[in-house]
Amino acid sequence: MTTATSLNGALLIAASGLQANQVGLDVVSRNVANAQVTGYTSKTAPLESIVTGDANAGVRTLAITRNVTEALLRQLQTSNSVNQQMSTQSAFLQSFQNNFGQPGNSTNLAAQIGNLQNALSALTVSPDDPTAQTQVISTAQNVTQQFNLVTQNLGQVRQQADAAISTSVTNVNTALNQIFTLNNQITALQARGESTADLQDQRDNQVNAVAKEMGITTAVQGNGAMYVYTGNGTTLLDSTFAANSSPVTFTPTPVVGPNAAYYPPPSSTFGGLSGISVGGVDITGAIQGGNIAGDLNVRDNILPATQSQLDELAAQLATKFNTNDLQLFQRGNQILPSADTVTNVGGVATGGNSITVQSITNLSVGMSLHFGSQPNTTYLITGINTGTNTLSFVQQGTTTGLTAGVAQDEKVTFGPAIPQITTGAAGGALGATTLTLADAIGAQTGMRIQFLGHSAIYTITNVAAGPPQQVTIQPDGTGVGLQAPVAAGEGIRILPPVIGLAGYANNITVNTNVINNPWRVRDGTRVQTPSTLTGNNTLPTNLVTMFNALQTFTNNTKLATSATLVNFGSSAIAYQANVTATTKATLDSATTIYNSLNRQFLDESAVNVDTQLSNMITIQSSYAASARTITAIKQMMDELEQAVR
Amino acid sequence: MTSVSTIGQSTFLNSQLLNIESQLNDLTNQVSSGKKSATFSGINSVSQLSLQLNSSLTVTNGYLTNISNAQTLIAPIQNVLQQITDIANQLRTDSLVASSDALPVTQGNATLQAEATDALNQISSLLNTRVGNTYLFGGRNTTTPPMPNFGSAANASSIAGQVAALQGANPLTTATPSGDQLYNAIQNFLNNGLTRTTSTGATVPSPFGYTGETGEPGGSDFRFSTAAGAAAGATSITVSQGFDLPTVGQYIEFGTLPPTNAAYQVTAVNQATRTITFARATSPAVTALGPSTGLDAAIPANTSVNVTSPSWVTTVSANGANSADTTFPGVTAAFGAGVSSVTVPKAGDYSVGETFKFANDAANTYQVTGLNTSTNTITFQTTPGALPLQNPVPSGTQITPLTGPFSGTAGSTQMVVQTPANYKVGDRISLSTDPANTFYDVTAVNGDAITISQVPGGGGLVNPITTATAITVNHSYQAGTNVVNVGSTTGVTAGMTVKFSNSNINYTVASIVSPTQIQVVPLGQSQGSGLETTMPPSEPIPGQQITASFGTAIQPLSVQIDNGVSLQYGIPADTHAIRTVLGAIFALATTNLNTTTQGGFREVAARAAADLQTGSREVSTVASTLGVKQQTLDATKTRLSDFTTTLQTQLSSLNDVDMASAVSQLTETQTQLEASFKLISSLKTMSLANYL
Repeated sequence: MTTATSLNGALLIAASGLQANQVGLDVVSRNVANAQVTGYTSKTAPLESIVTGDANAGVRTLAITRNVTEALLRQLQTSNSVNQQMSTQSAFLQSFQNNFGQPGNSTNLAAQIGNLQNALSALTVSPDDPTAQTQVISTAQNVTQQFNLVTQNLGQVRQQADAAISTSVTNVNTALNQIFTLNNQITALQARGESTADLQDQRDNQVNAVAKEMGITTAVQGNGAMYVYTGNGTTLLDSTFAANSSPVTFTPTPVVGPNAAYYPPPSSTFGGLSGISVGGVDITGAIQGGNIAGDLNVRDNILPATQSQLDELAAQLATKFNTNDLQLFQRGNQILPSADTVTNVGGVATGGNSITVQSITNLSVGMSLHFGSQPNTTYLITGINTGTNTLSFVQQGTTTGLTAGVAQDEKVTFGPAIPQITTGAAGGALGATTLTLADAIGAQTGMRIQFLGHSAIYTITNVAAGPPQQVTIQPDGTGVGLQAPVAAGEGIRILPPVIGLAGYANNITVNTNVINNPWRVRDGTRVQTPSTLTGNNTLPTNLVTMFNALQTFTNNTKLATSATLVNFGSSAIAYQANVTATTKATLDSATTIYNSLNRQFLDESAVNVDTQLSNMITIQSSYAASARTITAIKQMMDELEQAVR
Repeated sequence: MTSVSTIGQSTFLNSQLLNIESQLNDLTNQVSSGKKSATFSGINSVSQLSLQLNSSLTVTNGYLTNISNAQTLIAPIQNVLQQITDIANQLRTDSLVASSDALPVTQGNATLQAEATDALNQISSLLNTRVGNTYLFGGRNTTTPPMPNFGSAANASSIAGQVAALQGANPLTTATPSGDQLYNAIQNFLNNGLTRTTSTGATVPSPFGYTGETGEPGGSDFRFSTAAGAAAGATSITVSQGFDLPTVGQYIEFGTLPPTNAAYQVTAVNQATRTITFARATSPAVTALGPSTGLDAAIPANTSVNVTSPSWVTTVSANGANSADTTFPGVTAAFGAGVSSVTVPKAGDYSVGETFKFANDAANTYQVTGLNTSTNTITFQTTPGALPLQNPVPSGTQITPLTGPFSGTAGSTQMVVQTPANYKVGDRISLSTDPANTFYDVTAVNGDAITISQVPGGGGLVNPITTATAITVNHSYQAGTNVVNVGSTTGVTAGMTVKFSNSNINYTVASIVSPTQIQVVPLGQSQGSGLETTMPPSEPIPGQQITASFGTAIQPLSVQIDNGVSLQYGIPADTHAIRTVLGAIFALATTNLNTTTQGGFREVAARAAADLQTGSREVSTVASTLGVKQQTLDATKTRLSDFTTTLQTQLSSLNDVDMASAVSQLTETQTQLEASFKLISSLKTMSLANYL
């Protein structure tokens, strides 16, 4: 049996009901008003009975809560990161696809190279026809323009990706500061036991903003604050976060050249493209998902792969023409020496590191050279004796000479110098084998260095722990230690960890000597005057044969190493097409997953207006009932009064 | 039951709508462009195939264009060959008439000479036919007319005039040349005596005045010329251009260096001073030349220098083993006085009526009355007196003929030999009665009598010869011989060009027969014909050795008609077939009755008729070979056309959209989109708010 209650008590209870319903209606109206706001979650005002002693004393509203399954929310954020990554990657790659033209037409690079082959084939019929000769040159110019254009656009897309990273990093920092502010508000409200639901919604919006840019994990602390970490656990935001700080740093590069590359630590100190750092620690490699991951992938992996393919193709194309006595292509305005022949009587045996040639015009230390019998081995000129026309050289990447003997009269072709980076060094005396480098250049064993102004090439054989870094060097020549003293602060060239042909496609042009003398496409660039054998098609025929033959390409282009020149071009285009299509397919599936998760989340947590309206009706009727109760109590009170009177 | 959020529903509907619109957009693009995709990523699975087929298509279309172009070049060549054959056949008929003409010869001669002169220049202009700017008969030299105007016998400076002058100047050894001798002299002059000027100003020999490509080591491909002259014996030269100098070990030749067109091996090159140091090519010839390793003869400034890598020089040796011959050995058995016949090694050496003596009996002269070649018995009697053998003769007694052409006196240019079949015109003999290194060339063989000429310098026997004189014969290479003995064939491969120092004609090495033997064919000819002129034996006169210079193969005009397939079609004007025809016509056009007997002219006409027949047959052979190539072109064209059709079909299936299916999909998607629109508009009204 419950304790009897007074009319007054009943009135109070009814009043509490009215109050609770007002709060309920307030929540409904807010829910309905925010039904279409992204990130707004449906709020509920839970009711609780007021019990005094053992008697119910009415109803009261608890703190407004939101209906969110945190696990689902986290999953949604991850999915959002992946989706964004694929979306940005796909957008860049789709735009880059336009560089290869439409299937079936002949504007793409491979088709242009095919046109060059055809022009040479036509030249075999009429080698004396100036029109046919000019046609070879103009198709060659189309090829070089296509190379230049594609690589320029490639550089632009990489630059755009680089700029996009910068924007994304700004967004991340902004959002982190917002989260930091919200954290403070939430912890304050929570401490007072007030509702934090709306602030949580806002915070989740900011978390989503970060997740959109890069994959993160979050952890909500007991006091309601949320800490943010990168995918691999690097802290982005915790209790130590300073207001208005920018924890994530990135330096955009205004112009991304074909040689520009991001070097992961410790080589990142070489310069090159910026990585992403948090508190001075490079986390570039650890970023998973989000726009930044997509941009990085485009900037550092996918497009550089195509760049290396184009460079390799351009270099092979130029080299193959050179070895056929027609230097049709050159790199930029650099005048490359024509092919020469080894004049050492009897040739040079394996291990030899010097040859004599007929002419050293246009040759300089650092340039690469290839022998006819070893087309795939690159040697670098390390010294030139101008009196005897003797070149000393080493095999690229080693300190040794010829890997196989070369014959007398064997053809030598010369290539561009290997691009190198400059940094500083402390001095060293003649013969010294140990040097202290002025700054931490990230020296690694096996790295090859050259001091500016000196021709000798040294290999780093040991790196002592630094800083400052103490390295042991070994000259590539026969002597021991430094072959000439170097001054403190003298520049060092370092071979970067990229292949030496970087940027060839960007610079390749048609040899002006050939443009001005079209007969050279028939007679080659080794002769001085046009041949009287105007019908001689030996060179064009050899060149057509060269086009039909399988050539060997380096194995670091992600393409088959054996292909015809045209098919290597086709493969490069198909490679991009494949990456683009795969990205698109991944994006489609990521979008489906994201949409499905989002739908699930929204259905669970977002507002259904109809539900709210039906809630409103319930609240209305509950309110009406409470009001009627009060009316009834009033009547009862009135009647009681009348009875007393 | 799962709840449905309002924003979730609209977001979902929105994304679905966008999805359908994107599909619609793709389909609209496909239908309007006819292509499956505007980018290669849109046809990812076949993008590489599409690209490769596209490049195959481009290349194949290129080959088809090449074939069409080649056809337009070959057709005129065929036409010219046909006309040359017609001209040759007409002249042959007329020469046959002239060779047996009973009419007064002046009449036939003048007509035939006029006709032949016309024919010469007609053929010359036919051989200068060009398509566009390309001369068709100059080998790979396509920008200069390959043949000169031959002129006429009346124009002394023209080639025909120079040939006619051969009769007046009488370069022949005989005072009154026979028709045969004259005909041979004309051919020799045309093949070896003419000179022409190269584009670099150097003069080089050229058969028939041909200025087209003759290739290495004929010397048309000069790279640079000497800056200053050099004396005989010099071992270095300075050249006027520093570009592309030869390398040590290569061979060089000079544009004007008779008589051997010697090659010199480069021993050092100074790039800065443009000086080339060399040594006379190491061959047996050098040893024979004595101590000098330098230039054989002085060269003037601006002499063209030809790098003949991998050319090298070797000597030519005699054709087969040298054979010895002895004049008339004696009787083969002992015979007693009174017999009227004796046996001899070869009765065929004797003739009835011939008189002779026995070496042991100077008093009696005998005359041959009969001979039996199967028993090698000769019957004789004394003259006068008609008596049998007066004195016994021991076995081996020498017989000395007293009559016939034999003359053993010094200065004689005729001698009788025992085995005339062993001698050919051009052979070189030496006699045991002469001092060392005295040689005579055989200039005529008439029965058992041979005509000889001392080399060098001409003239007859140095010493009288006796019946015991031994003769050593160094055999020459007769025209038509196709195997030549050389010092060494190291470095020589089939296909290389070869030139012998006695002639200006280039040959191709058809095969290496043995380490010291090569098989040759005239340049541009197929198997079957050998040397075009007789080549004297090389040894053994110092400085007179014949050398063979080898050069790289000469490629004829050619065209790429398929991957790795190159069709060769050019016919140089100096091909053997055309030279044979021209040589015969030259003889007809230049032979002058004022210096030639009627009989001689008829010989010339007969030789010309025979050569015209041979030549026109060879031209026909060349034409039919070309016809086969035309057929190859036609067949290849058909095949490649079919291939392009296949390629296009395949490409279309990869790149082009199936219109019917695309349009039906488009319609379907449109319907889908419309349905979605309706759904959205009906959802708008489906809210509880509308019912409260």
